Amino acid sequence: MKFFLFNLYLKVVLLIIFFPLSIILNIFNLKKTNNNNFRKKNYKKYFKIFKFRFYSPLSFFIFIFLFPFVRLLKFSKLKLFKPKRINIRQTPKQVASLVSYRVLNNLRLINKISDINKTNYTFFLQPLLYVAKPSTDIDKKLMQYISHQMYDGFTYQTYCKEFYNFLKESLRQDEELGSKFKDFTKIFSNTNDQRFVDPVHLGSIGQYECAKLISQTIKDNEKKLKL
Amino acid sequence: MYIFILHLEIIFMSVSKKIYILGISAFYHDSSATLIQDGKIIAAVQEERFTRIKFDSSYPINSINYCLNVANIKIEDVNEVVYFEKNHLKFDRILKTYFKYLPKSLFQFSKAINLWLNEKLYIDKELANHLKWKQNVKSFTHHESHAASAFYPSPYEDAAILTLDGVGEWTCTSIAYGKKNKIKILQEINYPDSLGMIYSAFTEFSGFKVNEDEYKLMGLAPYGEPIYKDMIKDKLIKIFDDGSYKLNLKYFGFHYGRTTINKNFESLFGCKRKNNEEIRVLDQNMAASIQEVLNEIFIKLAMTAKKITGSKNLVIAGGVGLNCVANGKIVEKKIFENIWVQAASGDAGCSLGCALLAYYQKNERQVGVTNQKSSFLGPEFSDVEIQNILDNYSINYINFKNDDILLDTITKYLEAGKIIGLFQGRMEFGPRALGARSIIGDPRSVDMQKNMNLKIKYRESFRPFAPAILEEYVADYFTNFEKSPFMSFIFKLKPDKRLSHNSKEISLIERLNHKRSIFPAVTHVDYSARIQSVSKEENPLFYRIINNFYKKTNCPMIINTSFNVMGEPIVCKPIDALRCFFSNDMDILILNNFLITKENQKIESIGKINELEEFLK
Repeated sequence: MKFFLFNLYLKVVLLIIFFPLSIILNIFNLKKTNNNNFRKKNYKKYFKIFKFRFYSPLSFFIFIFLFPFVRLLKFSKLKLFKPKRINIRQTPKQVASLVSYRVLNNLRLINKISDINKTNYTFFLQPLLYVAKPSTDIDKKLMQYISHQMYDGFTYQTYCKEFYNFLKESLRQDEELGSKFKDFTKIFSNTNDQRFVDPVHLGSIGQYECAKLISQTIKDNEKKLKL
Repeated sequence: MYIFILHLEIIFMSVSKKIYILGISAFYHDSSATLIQDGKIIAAVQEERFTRIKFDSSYPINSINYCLNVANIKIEDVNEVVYFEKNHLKFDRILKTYFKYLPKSLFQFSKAINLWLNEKLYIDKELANHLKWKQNVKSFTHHESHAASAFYPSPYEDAAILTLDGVGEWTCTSIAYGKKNKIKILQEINYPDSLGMIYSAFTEFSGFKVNEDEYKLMGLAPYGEPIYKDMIKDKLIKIFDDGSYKLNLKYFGFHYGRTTINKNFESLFGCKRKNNEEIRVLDQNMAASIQEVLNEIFIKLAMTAKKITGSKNLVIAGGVGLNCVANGKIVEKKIFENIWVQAASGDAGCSLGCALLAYYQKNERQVGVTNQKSSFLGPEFSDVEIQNILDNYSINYINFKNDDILLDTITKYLEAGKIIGLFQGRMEFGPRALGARSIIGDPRSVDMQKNMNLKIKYRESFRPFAPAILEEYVADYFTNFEKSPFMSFIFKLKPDKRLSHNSKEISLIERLNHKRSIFPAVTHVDYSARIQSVSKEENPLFYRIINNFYKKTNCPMIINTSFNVMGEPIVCKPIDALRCFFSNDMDILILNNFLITKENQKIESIGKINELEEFLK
């Protein structure tokens, strides 16, 4: 409330007192610059009142109107010495490696839980138009549409491609997790039917075919286990 | 006898007592801290390198701690703490300027008053509190600090000093004279007549960030024609014969508002470019035009400085002093016999300047004591520290015990067109990477400029790269050569080294693809290059790398660009270097004697490095 009142007071002072005065001073201060604009000034001249240094009568005059509020505002919102929050721009490779690292950690957790519970699992990397070759005309149009969508200076496609590459590579490097991984990324690359409704989501045919492949994988896994 | 020994002890102690002065530049733009001991620069570093926030203006606590650690002292051991500007004088300027431009300045006026009455008026006291410093924090004016940063570390007994900046307290441009330990400001141009502000206005018009991207405008200038030069001189700025100038404030907004230009500016030249729009021919021509105007002012100011000081030496500092094109013009005109430009010419350099001012107020100056032959004043890391980090993150590496084999390997990779991140020795102070935190490549490759810009730095493809060239060969390739260890000047490639004529009628991208010389990656479209001359004495580590490359290829230069990606400060610690290396298409990383490639690295390790919490440690 007191800040609101101060700002209100300040605006009134600025408009009613300072503004007309500045017009008058500007009229008297119309200096003509002749053949140069160099100045010589002595900044060592100032007068001190209540620990404040004033280098001109005008700044002292302005300050008179502010003086009653000096105490109120002093250290009211401490900002200068607070560390700033980092807001850096991350490159697609940075984002991709970080996300795949976290996915990998999640997979490890899943692996551990399934081990404890003596259950089996398979990790499927879903088909994605961003990383697959567009096969139908609608796919091509979708890709054309999203090619202009940017995040922090890079296209979504760039991020996705990097992420999928990193994730696949990290699963390849981890023998245990890699053995339970199925890459479904490009399963729809060579079909003529429309599978995607957008670059990430599948339509009903796509969902159905995906489900068929998943169930087939589960059956195969179970067969292997029985053997 | 006892009294005699006591006396001797006191005399001995007073003789051997070291004088430490800590200089601080903060709270406006690019914070930094510098520690000097008996006039020698012990350490100087920008806060952005630690906090990883580009041009970080916050309280430079990390930089201060680093400086004290290097000298192995505590704040109590410091004799003086010095701040780089006088805040009450700055407040005087703010009050009077906003008062003058009421009611347009209404919003900014009330905002500024809230800010200044809250904390800014008490900065010196608060600094002392935060540092637990029991004495008063001393201060000098902004331009005195700039002038000192240019004069005292220079190799001259006396020199004319030119400081060119956006604005300090009141001063925007000054001519001073330095002799022995004294600096006297002779002439100055005051706010709002600011070269920095007019250049920033054009930066904003061209869609770049004010106070950050001015160098991009400088890089864009050679692509354009200076067709607006006369209009600028006619409408925006009046240039007097002595180099002083006066802005026509009708076209600007910086003195009352948040933007540097106003509607009048846009009605004169057209709409300003939005950040995500393509760079227009208009932007190229505007950049070329303002650069021409700046060159003219620089030359005239230098001539006036020569006339009123009579010195044969010139030193330059201030943010606008980073404009190496204009600096190069002064060299070209041969107004002075010698020119030296402070490596940290911007506000970061003020921490060095104010510390030196405090020291030389009481002490005599001997040329060479405050030596800034090289600008490697920041943190360095030992092989053991680096190996620990690499092992902690399970990064595969090769440790070269033999330097010659490492040098040959670097040359081999450079020849193969690989891009190498180089991290060795103490970090540079100032905005330029000079071989300690650099990305290097072969300048003979045609596609190198485009690839480095787009795939490594993620920045605009038109941006030029600088050649780092062995000092003894510079004169063979470039005209009007002046020693340039800090990339302070632009020189033109000799006509016999040029390959084709670049028509200005074709597009920017097409012109980029033209092979302009046998070193296309470091030759700008106007055959200019911002060279770094590398000498054996001042930069031995970097010299060896270039020299080895020269022995194998007969090419005495390599590309040298800062080790960072767009929007980030130059890397400081090994972990920053690793993070940067894995964030783009760089091929090789050299950390001291350790060589790291991207092959056979665990993806998990890369992810770990990129964990933000880890990175911020």
